[in-house]
Amino acid sequence: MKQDFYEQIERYLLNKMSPSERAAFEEELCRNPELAEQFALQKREHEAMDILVQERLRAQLRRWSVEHPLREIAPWYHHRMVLAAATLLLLLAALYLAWPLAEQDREIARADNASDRDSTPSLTVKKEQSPSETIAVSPTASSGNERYRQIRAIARKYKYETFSIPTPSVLRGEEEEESTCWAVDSALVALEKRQYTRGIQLLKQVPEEEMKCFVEARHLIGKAYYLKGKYKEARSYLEQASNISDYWDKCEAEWELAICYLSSNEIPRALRLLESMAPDKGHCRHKEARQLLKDLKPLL
Amino acid sequence: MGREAILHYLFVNSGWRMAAVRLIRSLGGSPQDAEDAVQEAFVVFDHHIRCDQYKQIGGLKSYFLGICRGRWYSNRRKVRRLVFSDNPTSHQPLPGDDPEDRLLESERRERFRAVLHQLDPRCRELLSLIRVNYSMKEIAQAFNLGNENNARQRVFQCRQRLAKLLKQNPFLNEDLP
Repeated sequence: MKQDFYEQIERYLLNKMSPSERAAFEEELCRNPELAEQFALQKREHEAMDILVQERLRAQLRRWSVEHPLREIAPWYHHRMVLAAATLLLLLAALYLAWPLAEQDREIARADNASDRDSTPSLTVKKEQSPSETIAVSPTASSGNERYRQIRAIARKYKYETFSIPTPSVLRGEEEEESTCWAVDSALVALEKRQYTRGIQLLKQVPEEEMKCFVEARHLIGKAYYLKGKYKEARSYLEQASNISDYWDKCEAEWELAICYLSSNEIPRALRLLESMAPDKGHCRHKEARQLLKDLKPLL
Repeated sequence: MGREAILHYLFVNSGWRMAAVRLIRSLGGSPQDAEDAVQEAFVVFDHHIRCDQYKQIGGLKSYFLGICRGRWYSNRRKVRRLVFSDNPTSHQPLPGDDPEDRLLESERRERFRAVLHQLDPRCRELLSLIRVNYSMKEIAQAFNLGNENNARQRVFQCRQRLAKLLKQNPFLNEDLP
Protein backbone atom coordinates (compact mmCIF):
# COMPACT_ATOMS: atom_id res chain seq x y z
CA MET A 1 0.00 0.00 0.00
CA LYS A 2 2.74 2.41 1.03
CA GLN A 3 4.65 1.64 -2.16
CA ASP A 4 1.52 2.52 -4.15
CA PHE A 5 1.33 5.81 -2.30
CA TYR A 6 4.99 6.44 -2.95
CA GLU A 7 4.64 6.10 -6.74
CA GLN A 8 1.45 8.16 -6.80
CA ILE A 9 2.92 10.93 -4.70
CA GLU A 10 6.07 11.01 -6.85
CA ARG A 11 3.96 11.34 -10.00
CA TYR A 12 1.93 14.11 -8.37
CA LEU A 13 4.99 16.03 -7.13
CA LEU A 14 6.77 15.65 -10.45
CA ASN A 15 3.67 16.95 -12.26
CA LYS A 16 3.24 13.80 -14.27
CA MET A 17 -0.49 13.31 -13.60
CA SER A 18 -3.30 14.24 -15.99
CA PRO A 19 -5.69 16.94 -14.67
CA SER A 20 -8.41 14.40 -13.87
CA GLU A 21 -5.95 12.08 -12.14
CA ARG A 22 -4.60 15.03 -10.21
CA ALA A 23 -8.05 16.08 -9.02
CA ALA A 24 -8.83 12.53 -7.90
CA PHE A 25 -5.53 12.35 -6.02
CA GLU A 26 -6.19 15.63 -4.23
CA GLU A 27 -9.64 14.36 -3.16
CA GLU A 28 -8.06 11.17 -1.83
CA LEU A 29 -5.44 13.25 -0.04
CA CYS A 30 -8.18 15.04 1.91
CA ARG A 31 -9.92 11.78 2.82
CA ASN A 32 -6.94 9.55 3.64
CA PRO A 33 -4.75 10.66 6.59
CA GLU A 34 -2.18 7.93 5.94
CA LEU A 35 -1.70 9.23 2.40
CA ALA A 36 -1.56 12.79 3.69
CA GLU A 37 1.19 11.87 6.16
CA GLN A 38 3.20 10.09 3.48
CA PHE A 39 2.60 13.00 1.09
CA ALA A 40 3.92 15.57 3.60
CA LEU A 41 7.08 13.54 4.11
CA GLN A 42 7.73 13.07 0.41
CA LYS A 43 7.06 16.74 -0.23
CA ARG A 44 9.74 17.58 2.35
CA GLU A 45 12.09 15.17 0.62
CA HIS A 46 11.56 16.99 -2.65
CA GLU A 47 12.12 20.35 -0.99
CA ALA A 48 15.27 19.00 0.61
CA MET A 49 16.48 17.68 -2.73
CA ASP A 50 15.73 21.07 -4.28
CA ILE A 51 17.92 22.68 -1.69
CA LEU A 52 20.64 20.15 -2.50
CA VAL A 53 20.37 21.00 -6.20
CA GLN A 54 20.65 24.69 -5.44
CA GLU A 55 23.60 24.15 -3.12
CA ARG A 56 25.35 22.11 -5.75
CA LEU A 57 24.68 24.70 -8.44
CA ARG A 58 25.86 27.51 -6.18
CA ALA A 59 29.10 25.65 -5.55
CA GLN A 60 29.55 25.11 -9.30
CA LEU A 61 28.85 28.78 -10.06
CA ARG A 62 31.35 29.88 -7.43
CA ARG A 63 33.95 27.55 -8.93
CA TRP A 64 33.25 28.74 -12.49
CA SER A 65 33.36 32.37 -11.50
CA VAL A 66 36.79 31.83 -9.93
CA GLU A 67 38.01 29.87 -12.97
CA HIS A 68 36.58 32.43 -15.42
CA PRO A 69 36.67 35.82 -13.70
CA LEU A 70 34.84 38.61 -15.40
CA ARG A 71 37.09 41.32 -16.62
CA GLU A 72 35.71 44.66 -15.60
CA ILE A 73 34.84 46.42 -18.79
CA ALA A 74 35.67 50.06 -18.58
CA PRO A 75 33.24 52.56 -20.06
CA TRP A 76 34.02 53.48 -23.67
CA TYR A 77 35.59 56.77 -22.66
CA HIS A 78 38.23 54.90 -20.62
CA HIS A 79 39.57 53.11 -23.68
CA ARG A 80 42.76 54.70 -24.85
CA MET A 81 42.36 53.39 -28.36
CA VAL A 82 38.92 54.91 -28.71
CA LEU A 83 40.20 58.22 -27.43
CA ALA A 84 43.16 58.13 -29.78
CA ALA A 85 40.94 57.29 -32.75
CA ALA A 86 38.52 60.07 -31.85
CA THR A 87 41.35 62.58 -31.54
CA LEU A 88 42.76 61.48 -34.87
CA LEU A 89 39.36 61.83 -36.51
CA LEU A 90 38.94 65.32 -35.10
CA LEU A 91 42.38 66.30 -36.32
CA LEU A 92 41.65 64.95 -39.79
CA ALA A 93 38.35 66.81 -39.87
CA ALA A 94 40.02 70.03 -38.78
CA LEU A 95 42.72 69.52 -41.40
CA TYR A 96 40.12 68.87 -44.08
CA LEU A 97 38.23 72.02 -43.17
CA ALA A 98 41.36 74.15 -42.95
CA TRP A 99 42.83 72.79 -46.19
CA PRO A 100 41.42 75.40 -48.60
CA LEU A 101 42.76 78.22 -46.42
CA ALA A 102 46.16 76.58 -46.22
CA GLU A 103 46.11 76.06 -49.99
CA GLN A 104 45.48 79.75 -50.50
CA ASP A 105 48.30 80.69 -48.16
CA ARG A 106 50.65 78.31 -49.93
CA GLU A 107 49.76 79.75 -53.31
CA ILE A 108 50.43 83.23 -52.07
CA ALA A 109 53.70 82.17 -50.52
CA ARG A 110 54.74 80.35 -53.70
CA ALA A 111 53.91 83.35 -55.81
CA ASP A 112 56.02 85.46 -53.51
CA ASN A 113 59.01 83.22 -53.26
CA ALA A 114 59.32 81.34 -56.50
CA SER A 115 59.88 84.38 -58.64
CA ASP A 116 62.88 85.51 -56.71
CA ARG A 117 64.35 83.64 -53.80
CA ASP A 118 67.21 86.01 -53.28
CA SER A 119 65.43 89.31 -52.87
CA THR A 120 62.90 90.54 -50.39
CA PRO A 121 59.38 89.67 -51.57
CA SER A 122 57.22 92.59 -52.59
CA LEU A 123 53.54 91.94 -53.05
CA THR A 124 52.20 95.31 -54.05
CA VAL A 125 54.13 97.31 -56.50
CA LYS A 126 51.97 99.84 -58.21
CA LYS A 127 52.19 99.91 -61.94
CA GLU A 128 51.92 103.72 -61.84
CA GLN A 129 55.16 103.94 -59.85
CA SER A 130 58.16 104.73 -62.00
CA PRO A 131 60.26 101.58 -61.69
CA SER A 132 63.38 103.37 -62.74
CA GLU A 133 63.27 105.41 -59.56
CA THR A 134 63.39 102.35 -57.36
CA ILE A 135 65.79 100.17 -59.24
CA ALA A 136 69.44 100.52 -58.56
CA VAL A 137 71.40 98.55 -61.07
CA SER A 138 74.78 97.52 -59.85
CA PRO A 139 77.44 98.85 -62.24
CA THR A 140 79.76 96.11 -61.16
CA ALA A 141 77.45 93.32 -62.21
CA SER A 142 79.80 91.19 -64.20
CA SER A 143 78.73 87.60 -64.02
CA GLY A 144 75.77 86.20 -65.98
CA ASN A 145 74.03 85.06 -62.84
CA GLU A 146 74.26 88.44 -61.24
CA ARG A 147 72.95 90.08 -64.37
CA TYR A 148 70.08 87.64 -64.60
CA ARG A 149 69.18 88.28 -61.00
CA GLN A 150 69.08 91.98 -61.61
CA ILE A 151 66.91 91.53 -64.70
CA ARG A 152 64.52 89.41 -62.74
CA ALA A 153 64.41 92.03 -60.01
CA ILE A 154 63.48 94.61 -62.60
CA ALA A 155 60.84 92.30 -64.09
CA ARG A 156 59.39 91.72 -60.66
CA LYS A 157 59.01 95.44 -60.17
CA TYR A 158 56.86 95.57 -63.26
CA LYS A 159 54.87 92.53 -62.40
CA TYR A 160 51.48 93.23 -60.88
CA GLU A 161 50.42 90.99 -58.07
CA THR A 162 46.73 91.70 -57.70
CA PHE A 163 44.14 90.13 -59.90
CA SER A 164 41.40 92.47 -61.05
CA ILE A 165 39.98 92.70 -64.53
CA PRO A 166 36.66 93.91 -65.93
CA THR A 167 33.69 91.55 -65.73
CA PRO A 168 34.39 89.26 -68.63
CA SER A 169 30.77 88.41 -69.46
CA VAL A 170 30.19 92.11 -70.25
CA LEU A 171 33.17 92.15 -72.55
CA ARG A 172 32.31 88.90 -74.21
CA GLY A 173 28.69 89.89 -74.79
CA GLU A 174 25.51 88.49 -73.35
CA GLU A 175 24.87 86.12 -76.26
CA GLU A 176 27.31 83.65 -74.72
CA GLU A 177 25.54 83.36 -71.42
CA GLU A 178 24.43 79.83 -72.15
CA SER A 179 27.91 78.66 -73.10
CA THR A 180 30.57 77.11 -70.87
CA CYS A 181 31.93 80.59 -70.12
CA TRP A 182 30.43 80.13 -66.67
CA ALA A 183 33.58 78.18 -65.92
CA VAL A 184 35.65 81.26 -66.76
CA ASP A 185 33.48 83.44 -64.56
CA SER A 186 33.78 81.00 -61.67
CA ALA A 187 37.53 80.79 -62.24
CA LEU A 188 37.81 84.58 -62.11
CA VAL A 189 36.10 84.61 -58.74
CA ALA A 190 38.59 81.97 -57.53
CA LEU A 191 41.57 83.85 -58.99
CA GLU A 192 40.50 87.09 -57.37
CA LYS A 193 40.50 85.23 -54.08
CA ARG A 194 44.01 84.01 -54.96
CA GLN A 195 42.80 80.42 -55.23
CA TYR A 196 44.99 79.84 -58.25
CA THR A 197 44.92 76.05 -58.27
CA ARG A 198 41.14 75.95 -58.19
CA GLY A 199 41.00 78.66 -60.85
CA ILE A 200 43.31 76.72 -63.13
CA GLN A 201 41.24 73.54 -62.64
CA LEU A 202 38.06 75.35 -63.66
CA LEU A 203 39.70 77.00 -66.65
CA LYS A 204 41.05 73.72 -67.97
CA GLN A 205 37.44 72.49 -68.26
CA VAL A 206 36.65 75.01 -71.02
CA PRO A 207 36.47 73.10 -74.33
CA GLU A 208 38.25 74.27 -77.45
CA GLU A 209 34.96 74.64 -79.34
CA GLU A 210 34.03 77.64 -77.20
CA MET A 211 36.55 79.73 -79.06
CA LYS A 212 36.30 83.10 -77.27
CA CYS A 213 36.03 81.52 -73.87
CA PHE A 214 38.77 79.09 -74.70
CA VAL A 215 41.28 81.82 -75.63
CA GLU A 216 40.35 83.78 -72.56
CA ALA A 217 40.66 80.63 -70.47
CA ARG A 218 44.12 79.96 -71.90
CA HIS A 219 45.12 83.52 -71.12
CA LEU A 220 43.79 83.27 -67.59
CA ILE A 221 45.59 79.98 -67.00
CA GLY A 222 48.79 81.68 -68.12
CA LYS A 223 48.01 84.63 -65.89
CA ALA A 224 47.36 82.33 -62.91
CA TYR A 225 50.69 80.55 -63.43
CA TYR A 226 52.32 83.96 -63.91
CA LEU A 227 50.93 85.14 -60.58
CA LYS A 228 52.04 81.91 -58.95
CA GLY A 229 55.54 82.55 -60.24
CA LYS A 230 55.52 79.50 -62.51
CA TYR A 231 56.79 81.33 -65.59
CA LYS A 232 57.66 78.30 -67.66
CA GLU A 233 54.13 76.92 -67.34
CA ALA A 234 52.64 80.36 -67.90
CA ARG A 235 54.62 80.97 -71.10
CA SER A 236 52.87 78.50 -73.41
CA TYR A 237 49.39 79.65 -72.37
CA LEU A 238 50.27 83.31 -72.75
CA GLU A 239 51.86 82.66 -76.15
CA GLN A 240 48.60 81.06 -77.30
CA ALA A 241 46.58 84.09 -76.16
CA SER A 242 48.96 86.67 -77.60
CA ASN A 243 49.03 84.94 -80.99
CA ILE A 244 45.27 85.37 -81.49
CA SER A 245 44.99 88.66 -83.38
CA ASP A 246 41.38 89.50 -82.45
CA TYR A 247 41.61 88.57 -78.77
CA TRP A 248 40.35 91.51 -76.73
CA ASP A 249 43.03 91.25 -74.06
CA LYS A 250 45.92 90.42 -76.41
CA CYS A 251 48.02 93.42 -75.29
CA GLU A 252 47.84 92.32 -71.65
CA ALA A 253 48.82 88.77 -72.61
CA GLU A 254 51.85 90.14 -74.50
CA TRP A 255 52.96 92.22 -71.56
CA GLU A 256 52.68 89.30 -69.18
CA LEU A 257 54.53 87.14 -71.68
CA ALA A 258 57.37 89.66 -71.81
CA ILE A 259 57.67 89.60 -68.03
CA CYS A 260 57.64 85.79 -68.13
CA TYR A 261 60.47 85.76 -70.68
CA LEU A 262 62.52 88.12 -68.55
CA SER A 263 61.86 86.10 -65.41
CA SER A 264 62.85 82.85 -67.10
CA ASN A 265 66.05 84.33 -68.56
CA GLU A 266 64.89 84.46 -72.16
CA ILE A 267 66.15 87.98 -72.65
CA PRO A 268 66.24 88.19 -76.50
CA ARG A 269 62.62 87.06 -76.79
CA ALA A 270 61.57 89.50 -74.10
CA LEU A 271 63.40 92.35 -75.81
CA ARG A 272 61.86 91.55 -79.22
CA LEU A 273 58.41 91.59 -77.69
CA LEU A 274 58.97 94.77 -75.70
CA GLU A 275 60.45 96.51 -78.73
CA SER A 276 57.36 95.65 -80.73
CA MET A 277 55.11 97.00 -77.99
CA ALA A 278 56.96 100.22 -77.11
CA PRO A 279 56.46 102.21 -80.35
CA ASP A 280 52.81 101.18 -80.72
CA LYS A 281 50.88 103.96 -79.00
CA GLY A 282 47.66 102.00 -79.30
CA HIS A 283 49.10 99.21 -77.21
CA CYS A 284 47.74 99.17 -73.66
CA ARG A 285 51.21 98.67 -72.23
CA HIS A 286 53.39 100.73 -74.55
CA LYS A 287 54.46 103.15 -71.79
CA GLU A 288 55.48 100.37 -69.44
CA ALA A 289 57.29 98.61 -72.28
CA ARG A 290 59.27 101.74 -73.08
CA GLN A 291 60.17 102.29 -69.44
CA LEU A 292 61.18 98.69 -68.97
CA LEU A 293 63.46 98.82 -72.00
CA LYS A 294 65.12 101.89 -70.54
CA ASP A 295 65.62 100.12 -67.20
CA LEU A 296 67.11 97.11 -68.86
CA LYS A 297 69.48 99.04 -71.07
CA PRO A 298 72.36 99.26 -68.56
CA LEU A 299 72.33 95.52 -68.17
CA LEU A 300 72.38 94.57 -71.82
CA MET B 1 27.05 15.86 -18.79
CA GLY B 2 24.27 17.62 -20.70
CA ARG B 3 22.80 19.82 -18.01
CA GLU B 4 26.14 20.86 -16.58
CA ALA B 5 27.54 21.57 -20.02
CA ILE B 6 24.57 23.81 -20.82
CA LEU B 7 24.83 25.65 -17.50
CA HIS B 8 28.57 26.05 -17.98
CA TYR B 9 28.02 27.44 -21.45
CA LEU B 10 25.32 29.83 -20.25
CA PHE B 11 27.39 31.04 -17.32
CA VAL B 12 30.83 31.22 -18.92
CA ASN B 13 30.51 31.57 -22.68
CA SER B 14 27.09 32.89 -23.60
CA GLY B 15 27.71 36.47 -22.49
CA TRP B 16 24.63 36.40 -20.23
CA ARG B 17 26.74 36.86 -17.14
CA MET B 18 28.43 39.95 -18.52
CA ALA B 19 25.12 41.38 -19.70
CA ALA B 20 23.62 40.77 -16.27
CA VAL B 21 26.60 42.34 -14.48
CA ARG B 22 26.34 45.38 -16.74
CA LEU B 23 22.62 45.61 -16.04
CA ILE B 24 23.13 45.54 -12.30
CA ARG B 25 26.02 47.99 -12.51
CA SER B 26 23.76 50.29 -14.48
CA LEU B 27 21.21 50.03 -11.67
CA GLY B 28 23.85 51.22 -9.23
CA GLY B 29 25.27 47.93 -7.93
CA SER B 30 28.92 47.34 -7.13
CA PRO B 31 30.84 44.60 -9.05
CA GLN B 32 30.51 42.25 -6.06
CA ASP B 33 26.77 42.96 -5.71
CA ALA B 34 26.38 42.25 -9.40
CA GLU B 35 28.26 38.95 -9.25
CA ASP B 36 26.24 37.79 -6.22
CA ALA B 37 22.93 38.72 -7.81
CA VAL B 38 23.88 37.00 -11.07
CA GLN B 39 24.77 33.75 -9.29
CA GLU B 40 21.51 33.85 -7.33
CA ALA B 41 19.63 34.57 -10.53
CA PHE B 42 21.22 31.52 -12.20
CA VAL B 43 20.00 29.33 -9.36
CA VAL B 44 16.47 30.77 -9.65
CA PHE B 45 16.55 30.51 -13.45
CA ASP B 46 17.57 26.85 -13.24
CA HIS B 47 14.75 26.18 -10.77
CA HIS B 48 12.18 27.93 -12.98
CA ILE B 49 13.22 25.94 -16.03
CA ARG B 50 13.16 22.65 -14.16
CA CYS B 51 9.77 23.38 -12.59
CA ASP B 52 8.32 24.45 -15.91
CA GLN B 53 7.72 28.02 -14.75
CA TYR B 54 9.22 29.55 -17.88
CA LYS B 55 6.26 30.24 -20.18
CA GLN B 56 8.34 30.98 -23.28
CA ILE B 57 7.13 34.57 -23.43
CA GLY B 58 10.09 36.55 -24.74
CA GLY B 59 13.62 35.26 -25.10
CA LEU B 60 15.41 33.12 -22.58
CA LYS B 61 18.09 35.75 -22.10
CA SER B 62 15.51 38.45 -21.41
CA TYR B 63 13.86 36.11 -18.94
CA PHE B 64 17.19 35.59 -17.20
CA LEU B 65 17.94 39.32 -17.12
CA GLY B 66 14.49 39.89 -15.65
CA ILE B 67 15.32 37.47 -12.86
CA CYS B 68 18.62 39.27 -12.29
CA ARG B 69 16.85 42.59 -12.01
CA GLY B 70 14.40 41.05 -9.54
CA ARG B 71 17.21 39.53 -7.46
CA TRP B 72 19.03 42.83 -7.41
CA TYR B 73 16.01 44.78 -6.18
CA SER B 74 15.30 42.06 -3.64
CA ASN B 75 18.89 42.13 -2.34
CA ARG B 76 18.81 45.89 -2.18
CA ARG B 77 15.64 45.84 -0.11
CA LYS B 78 17.34 43.43 2.29
CA VAL B 79 20.28 45.80 2.68
CA ARG B 80 18.04 48.83 3.08
CA ARG B 81 16.22 47.26 5.95
CA LEU B 82 19.41 47.34 7.96
CA VAL B 83 19.76 51.08 7.49
CA PHE B 84 18.24 52.96 10.40
CA SER B 85 16.37 56.04 9.46
CA ASP B 86 14.24 58.69 11.16
CA ASN B 87 11.95 58.72 8.20
CA PRO B 88 8.87 56.65 9.20
CA THR B 89 7.91 55.89 5.58
CA SER B 90 11.09 53.90 5.08
CA HIS B 91 9.83 51.37 7.66
CA GLN B 92 6.66 50.60 5.73
CA PRO B 93 6.96 47.03 4.38
CA LEU B 94 6.24 46.50 0.71
CA PRO B 95 3.35 44.16 -0.16
CA GLY B 96 4.54 40.54 0.05
CA ASP B 97 7.78 41.67 1.56
CA ASP B 98 7.18 41.17 5.23
CA PRO B 99 10.53 41.15 7.03
CA GLU B 100 9.26 38.61 9.54
CA ASP B 101 8.35 36.14 6.77
CA ARG B 102 11.73 36.59 5.19
CA LEU B 103 13.50 35.99 8.45
CA LEU B 104 11.50 32.82 9.07
CA GLU B 105 12.16 31.58 5.57
CA SER B 106 15.83 32.22 5.94
CA GLU B 107 15.98 30.42 9.31
CA ARG B 108 14.03 27.42 7.97
CA ARG B 109 16.34 27.09 5.01
CA GLU B 110 19.34 27.21 7.30
CA ARG B 111 17.86 24.39 9.38
CA PHE B 112 17.22 22.37 6.24
CA ARG B 113 20.80 22.86 5.17
CA ALA B 114 22.08 21.81 8.57
CA VAL B 115 19.98 18.65 8.46
CA LEU B 116 21.01 17.84 4.92
CA HIS B 117 24.65 18.12 5.87
CA GLN B 118 24.13 15.10 8.10
CA LEU B 119 23.82 13.05 4.91
CA ASP B 120 27.07 11.79 3.44
CA PRO B 121 28.35 13.87 0.49
CA ARG B 122 27.79 11.07 -2.06
CA CYS B 123 24.13 10.82 -1.06
CA ARG B 124 23.71 14.57 -1.27
CA GLU B 125 25.25 14.56 -4.73
CA LEU B 126 23.16 11.60 -5.86
CA LEU B 127 19.88 13.08 -4.58
CA SER B 128 20.59 16.41 -6.24
CA LEU B 129 21.15 14.60 -9.55
CA ILE B 130 17.94 12.60 -9.16
CA ARG B 131 16.09 15.84 -8.56
CA VAL B 132 17.33 17.25 -11.87
CA ASN B 133 16.00 14.15 -13.70
CA TYR B 134 19.22 12.24 -14.25
CA SER B 135 18.41 8.72 -15.40
CA MET B 136 19.53 5.68 -13.44
CA LYS B 137 21.94 4.88 -16.26
CA GLU B 138 23.57 8.31 -15.96
CA ILE B 139 23.76 7.99 -12.19
CA ALA B 140 25.34 4.55 -12.51
CA GLN B 141 27.99 6.06 -14.80
CA ALA B 142 28.60 9.13 -12.66
CA PHE B 143 29.02 7.13 -9.44
CA ASN B 144 30.66 4.04 -10.92
CA LEU B 145 27.81 1.86 -9.73
CA GLY B 146 28.02 -0.66 -12.57
CA ASN B 147 24.41 -0.91 -13.68
CA GLU B 148 21.02 0.77 -13.36
CA ASN B 149 19.78 -1.65 -10.69
CA ASN B 150 22.67 -0.76 -8.41
CA ALA B 151 21.96 2.91 -9.03
CA ARG B 152 18.26 2.43 -8.24
CA GLN B 153 19.16 0.63 -5.00
CA ARG B 154 21.59 3.36 -4.00
CA VAL B 155 19.01 6.07 -4.69
CA PHE B 156 16.46 4.19 -2.60
CA GLN B 157 18.91 3.95 0.32
CA CYS B 158 19.69 7.64 0.15
CA ARG B 159 16.06 8.62 0.05
CA GLN B 160 15.39 6.41 3.06
CA ARG B 161 18.17 8.12 4.95
CA LEU B 162 16.79 11.52 3.99
CA ALA B 163 13.27 10.50 5.06
CA LYS B 164 14.63 9.27 8.38
CA LEU B 165 16.42 12.58 8.96
CA LEU B 166 13.32 14.58 8.11
CA LYS B 167 11.22 12.47 10.49
CA GLN B 168 13.76 13.10 13.23
CA ASN B 169 13.41 16.85 12.70
CA PRO B 170 9.67 17.60 12.89
CA PHE B 171 10.24 21.38 12.92
CA LEU B 172 10.97 21.04 9.23
CA ASN B 173 7.39 19.99 8.60
CA GLU B 174 6.24 23.57 8.33
CA ASP B 175 5.72 24.70 4.73
CA LEU B 176 8.45 26.67 3.07
CA PRO B 177 7.14 29.96 1.77
